[in-house]
Amino acid sequence: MPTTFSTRLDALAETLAKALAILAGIFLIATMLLACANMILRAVHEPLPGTVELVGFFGAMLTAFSLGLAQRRRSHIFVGLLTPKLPRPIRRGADALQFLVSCAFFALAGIETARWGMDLIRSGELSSTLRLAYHPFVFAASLGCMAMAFVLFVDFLNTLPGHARTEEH
Amino acid sequence: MDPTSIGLAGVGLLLAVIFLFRIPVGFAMGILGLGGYALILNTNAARAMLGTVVWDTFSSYGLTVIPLFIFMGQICFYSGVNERLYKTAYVWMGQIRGGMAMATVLACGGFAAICGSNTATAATMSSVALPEMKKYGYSPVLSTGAVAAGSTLGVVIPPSVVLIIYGLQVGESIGKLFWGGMLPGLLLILLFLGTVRMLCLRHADWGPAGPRTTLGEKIRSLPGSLEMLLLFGLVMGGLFAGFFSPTEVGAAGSALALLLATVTGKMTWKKLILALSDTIRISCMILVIMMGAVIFAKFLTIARLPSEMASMVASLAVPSWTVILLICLIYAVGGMVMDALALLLVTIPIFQPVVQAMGYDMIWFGVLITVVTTMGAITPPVGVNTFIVASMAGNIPMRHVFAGVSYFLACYALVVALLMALPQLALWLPSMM
Amino acid sequence: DNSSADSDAANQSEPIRLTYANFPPAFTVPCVQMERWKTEVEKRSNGQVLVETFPGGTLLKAKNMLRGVVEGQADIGCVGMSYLPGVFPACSAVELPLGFESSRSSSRTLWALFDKYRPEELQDVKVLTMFATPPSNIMSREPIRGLADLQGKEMRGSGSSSRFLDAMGAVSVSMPMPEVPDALQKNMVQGIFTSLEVLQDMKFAEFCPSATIVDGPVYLFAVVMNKDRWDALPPATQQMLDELAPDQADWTGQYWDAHTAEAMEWARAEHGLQVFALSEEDRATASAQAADMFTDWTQAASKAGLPAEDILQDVRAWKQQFEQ
Ligand code: NA
Ligand code: NA
Repeated sequence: MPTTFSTRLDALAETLAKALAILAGIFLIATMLLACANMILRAVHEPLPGTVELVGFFGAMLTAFSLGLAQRRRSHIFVGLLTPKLPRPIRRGADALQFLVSCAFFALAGIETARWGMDLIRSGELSSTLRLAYHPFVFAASLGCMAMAFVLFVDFLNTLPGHARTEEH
Repeated sequence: MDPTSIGLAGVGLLLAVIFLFRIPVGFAMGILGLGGYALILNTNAARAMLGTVVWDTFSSYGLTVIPLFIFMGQICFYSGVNERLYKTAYVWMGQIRGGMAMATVLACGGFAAICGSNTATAATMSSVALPEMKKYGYSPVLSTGAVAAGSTLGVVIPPSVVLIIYGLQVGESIGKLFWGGMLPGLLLILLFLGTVRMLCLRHADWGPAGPRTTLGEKIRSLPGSLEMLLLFGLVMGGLFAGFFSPTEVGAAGSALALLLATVTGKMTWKKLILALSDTIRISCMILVIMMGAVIFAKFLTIARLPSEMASMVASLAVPSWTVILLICLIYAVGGMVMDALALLLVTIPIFQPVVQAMGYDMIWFGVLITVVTTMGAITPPVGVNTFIVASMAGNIPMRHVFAGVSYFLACYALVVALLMALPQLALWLPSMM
Repeated sequence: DNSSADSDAANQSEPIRLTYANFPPAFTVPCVQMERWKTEVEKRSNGQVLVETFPGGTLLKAKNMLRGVVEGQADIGCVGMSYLPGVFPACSAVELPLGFESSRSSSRTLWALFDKYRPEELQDVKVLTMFATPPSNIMSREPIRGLADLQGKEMRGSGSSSRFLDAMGAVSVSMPMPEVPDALQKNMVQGIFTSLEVLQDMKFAEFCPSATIVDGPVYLFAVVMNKDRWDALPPATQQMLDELAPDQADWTGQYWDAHTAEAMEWARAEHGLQVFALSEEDRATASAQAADMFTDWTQAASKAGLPAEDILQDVRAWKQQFEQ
């Protein structure tokens, strides 16, 4: 039952994207609150140490965790000025190829980010101000990329004949 | 193939891919940049580069402020602050053809005074202005063009990240550079207003004129703009009092907007969640384009394409103004396919001695190339600002957005020409300081 | 492509091409020494080794310089060791607030430490040279004549200079360099704490007409090369580069000191820079309050299996020797 299976995969991709997006939203609010706390404390007492690097880490979480949702909602902008001039089967093939290559790209990005996280553990590198071992954030970013790769893979499956969602803009 | 040829082939392939396929621009730049990098160096180096670029871009402090600027815009949108502001603007300027687009250009100029990045300006102003102009029957060609062009003021009018990076690269006073960008920025505003006016004279339906209003109606409409003016005043005041830095404006602005919307009872949980969801999607889109642009820039750097072109121009035996013109050309063309800041970082060390040796003022040169590179942010095919505006405009075809933008390009050409003919345009204010 | 570059190395008629990545802007001292090294290498090899330099972080940035060289993104890279806390348990001894007076002495001390201990932390790469900055000193909006003036003042610092600022009673603030001029102008920070050449190089004298000499911590740099690329070099070239290493460290130290003196002269002439110095008493107080920086370093170094006490003793002795 390929259709049921791909429908399930599609639902799984949607759930995963949404769940990570909730985390992204939490990190957005946290970034705002942290930056504001820093401003207020700076004015009345002294600034929070490490705000700059924490804002960077939180920002990375925000982007990595929203990759899936942005892809599901087709938020990533494309140009494709000449696409409408291509014959329909070629367009469909191009879309399938595009999703597959993008999937490979984000999977590789996830693997390489994780590999770099392992290097951070090995070298013992710490963050500049708080001297945090910050590799958990790096692994989380890798997770976001892997989720994106999964979402793109489901998008690829959906371009195949007889599947749940087909792409037509 | 030697690296430079691979670089040129990479640029050609990128253009072909993004024109032909519906592949997101950031993905295309990332994939082709990664491939080219591996071809010139080796796969090991390319993989290591990918792993660090993803993290570096996503966690870059300069870029992580972008989501907060967008959040501020989205809160204002969902709580109706923008709607009320544009109602007031409509009463005051609506009877002029294109009046709302002019109001938008002016609003971009005002926002540029609190925000140093043109991506953040584009994201904020798109969410503020596009839905409102649509409501008043404005053509998407005009509305997206005005927002995309207006948002480039973010880096010309101080504060400006481009001028800061330039100042740190060449060791010039950032304060003086900021003053240098002021007059060209104001000039651009005037030219954008003129462009809107001319477009609306030729295409009456692009910016339909509203009903005439009486002075009484005008005055009665004023309270509608109060919230936005209050927000803007608080942010501006906080910035100038040193309560927060230009990169903290997004966070402070979001918090203030949220507070304001809650106090006035205009914010609900549902709207907040919508604002959050829009914000993370849009900022993710921008950050992915940035990531792709960084990877592609790394590829072009290792291919020595920018440095070869720069060295070639630097070694030409032609009059100095020709060299400046060629430098502008490199930045304009380079800006079409490469992120402006990455391009500046690679080329400034090569151009700086040349420009200095020819006796040009480095403040003037900084302002000049800031105007030229910011134009690159809206020119096709890779114009980050254009992409942001297009994505926020909803289902408007990309070619309409590029068409709208193209009408404003002449303004840049004019400002560049004026800067070359009349260096005082950039140097007069700094010399007064 | 690497393999073709390797066969270049074997074939002496084709010059060897090396890429050299650096992270700060082109006009800064780490990049000036890079250009000097390039000139020197090209001269000493009779044009058989050509170096292509990439300043400004275009190839590799501070945070991924070391890994980038190991993975072959650049053949050579200038590693800002102070930007990677925790990675260099041995060399970071030179970062402690020992009171170095010049870049020449800190650079020579760093090289001596490396040469004697050959620490494991740099074993993945070939070290071509090392150098260190002159001491961090205070540059401020208002005159700071002693520790009393510094209490509670917000100062921009980074790494171990931040800890020393806090030890002196100031409040250290970390902020990206591009934001510093604006922050100084608006009094969000009242000064900066780093080596003094930035008065001219970054035009900070415009905002900071006052400097206070405290001889605070220095920042460390290591110029490193990819191991495979090094191994592929002809022995004569390797020997030439090895001979250049201590010479380059010394040159950079001297250049940095001279450049700092020039920058101060420029700031005096252009912005009326006033220079103060901490009293002996204040220096002693600051040292006493910074004692836990030494304890923490010793602990971390011992944990990494290093002879911490010996290293510290050596470093102090070298400092004294090189400052005579
Ligand atoms: Na601005
Ligand atoms: Na462009």
